[in-house]
Amino acid sequence: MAVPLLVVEDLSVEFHTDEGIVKAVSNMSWELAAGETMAILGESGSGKSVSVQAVMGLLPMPPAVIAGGSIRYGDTELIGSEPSVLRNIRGPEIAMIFQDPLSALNPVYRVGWQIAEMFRMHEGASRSEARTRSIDLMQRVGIPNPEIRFRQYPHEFSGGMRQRAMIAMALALNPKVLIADEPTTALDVTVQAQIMDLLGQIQADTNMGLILITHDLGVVASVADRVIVMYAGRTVETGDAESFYRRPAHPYSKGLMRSVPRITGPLERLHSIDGTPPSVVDLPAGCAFATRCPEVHDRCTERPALIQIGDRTRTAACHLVGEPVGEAV
Amino acid sequence: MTIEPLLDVRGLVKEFPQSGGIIPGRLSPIRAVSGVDVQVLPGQTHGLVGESGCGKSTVARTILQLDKPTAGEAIFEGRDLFKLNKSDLREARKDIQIVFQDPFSSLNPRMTVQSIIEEPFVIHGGAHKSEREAEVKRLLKQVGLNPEHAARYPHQFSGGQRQRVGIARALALQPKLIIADEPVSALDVSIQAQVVNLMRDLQRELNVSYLFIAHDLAVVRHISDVVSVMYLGKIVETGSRDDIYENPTHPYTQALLSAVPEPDPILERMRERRVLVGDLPSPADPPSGCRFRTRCWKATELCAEEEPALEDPGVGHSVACHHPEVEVAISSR
Repeated sequence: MAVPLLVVEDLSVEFHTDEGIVKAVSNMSWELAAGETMAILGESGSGKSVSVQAVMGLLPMPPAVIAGGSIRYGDTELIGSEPSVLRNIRGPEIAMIFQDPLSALNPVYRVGWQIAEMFRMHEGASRSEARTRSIDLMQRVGIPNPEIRFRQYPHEFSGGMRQRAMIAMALALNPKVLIADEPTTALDVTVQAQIMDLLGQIQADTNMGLILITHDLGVVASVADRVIVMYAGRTVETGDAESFYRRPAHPYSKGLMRSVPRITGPLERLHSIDGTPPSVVDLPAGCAFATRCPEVHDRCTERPALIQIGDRTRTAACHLVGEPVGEAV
Repeated sequence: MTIEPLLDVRGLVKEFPQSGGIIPGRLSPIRAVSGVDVQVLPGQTHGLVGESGCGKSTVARTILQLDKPTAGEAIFEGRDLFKLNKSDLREARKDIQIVFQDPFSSLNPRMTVQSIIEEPFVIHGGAHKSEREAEVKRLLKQVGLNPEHAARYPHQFSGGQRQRVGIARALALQPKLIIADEPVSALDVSIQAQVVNLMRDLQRELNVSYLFIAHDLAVVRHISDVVSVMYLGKIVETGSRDDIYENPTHPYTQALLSAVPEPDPILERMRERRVLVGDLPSPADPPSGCRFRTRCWKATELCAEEEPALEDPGVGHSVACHHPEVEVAISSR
């Protein structure tokens, strides 16, 4: 693997609330290389968003606390760094787009001005230079009539166009890493396809690393090189997308895969995972999925470590996968 | 059709007045629903799919007259719901219930689950208090919740459990028809499957009919017998589930299906995707002729001049298109 751009090691994030300590992310590790697309897949409350918010320094502290671990961009450790150092990394080097572009854009400023601000603030560009570059950028992300659109406000944009505007802002400073947190969840399926195409095309042009946070197994399959599956704040499975989809190893991944309704294939009764995820305030000491797991057994009262499976870069946190039974699945 | 439909909606139109403008009352109203026909057969599910702003939820709300329809009729068991007087409508509503999208805002946070589920009995006057309690317990069990939890409040339940409570409330008066407006779109995948399965089981058990409204084509496929696709206030294609998913004929239906990513990377790489350009036009000012023509790759002059009728172009189901993709649709599968 190429030299990674961004390395997260043993990251734990907690929220100290009145109800107790919420372990939102526990001991998460990953690396991202240039040109690579990594998906972090999980359901609500799995910690997938919190993990990247920690990278971007977006967590409200308190109540959030980075309880341990390290986040490195190149040679720079981000946790505990000086704000001036972080300012030159978060934004210019690592950019982020969000699920809801309406709340991420400032409603009282013109869209063009908000994009142009990136050039003026970070690069000291002149007004007219910033304007020209913004219009170019809007053109590049597929916003029609950028000269007119430049002068409009966010409410005059449709959902898909707002997401394009946000992508333009994120790309303004040519980041090496783009984090997309549920970028298409609020969009209709035809617009989702447009936005995912755009992200793929930009990535091919710029060779940036892309981290996609999503709950949608379909979206992951269409773009990701590698997948990390999270459950109740913990990584339960990692691997290259193709082999992960062919043979998911963790019982949670297997259940999830089978419960997705599809538009083709046999129409069987949907598989469902019984029960609900455990409360993150009161996580079990052992495997967090044990209460819902169809393959639960005695050893599940111990917390399983991520075990390498097969000869590839795949791992799963399940006591069963290390044994011959797991290999056969 | 030999079986008499339970609900037969014809020519449904709903306009919303637009406020604003310099001279009050000068803006023409927005036609959210523009002449929609929907039939639901006894014990079956009619799935209504479309993207946001296509008017699918307005169809649901006008049938129940949560919004007053502008024109059209909705024949339910031989009577037009839109012509009923207040007390008759109230009576008819016992037979037609609704399940909403958001299980967080559709349950009163200050009522216990017991009082939420028994409220229909209280309103429609039936059953004694002790009978009601027993009935609530039975309903909770039927939707897969612990009957002992009747005294709890909505916030003590997860999203999926809350949606079960909403379904139990809808079932309370043993309705013949349940209108479900995006009932699973707020739920996680693993929970969504639970609720879809529950709805199917209940249908088999109780022979209840569903009008199932959703934007998620895959979910609709798993629950519907008949599917209609809406675009900008009109139905563009309607047919049996297999007609729509195996043999989509309207360009919009094809684009919609091709935009759904499949959870399979190898399949995804091989698929040819038809990506629509542009955005949904404003329903305040829909395009002339065919409403989809501004985003359609097959549009011709005819499409701008004449509105296509919803009829069978020889594929066995109805399509509103001047240039239906008959051969392509068959060979691509």
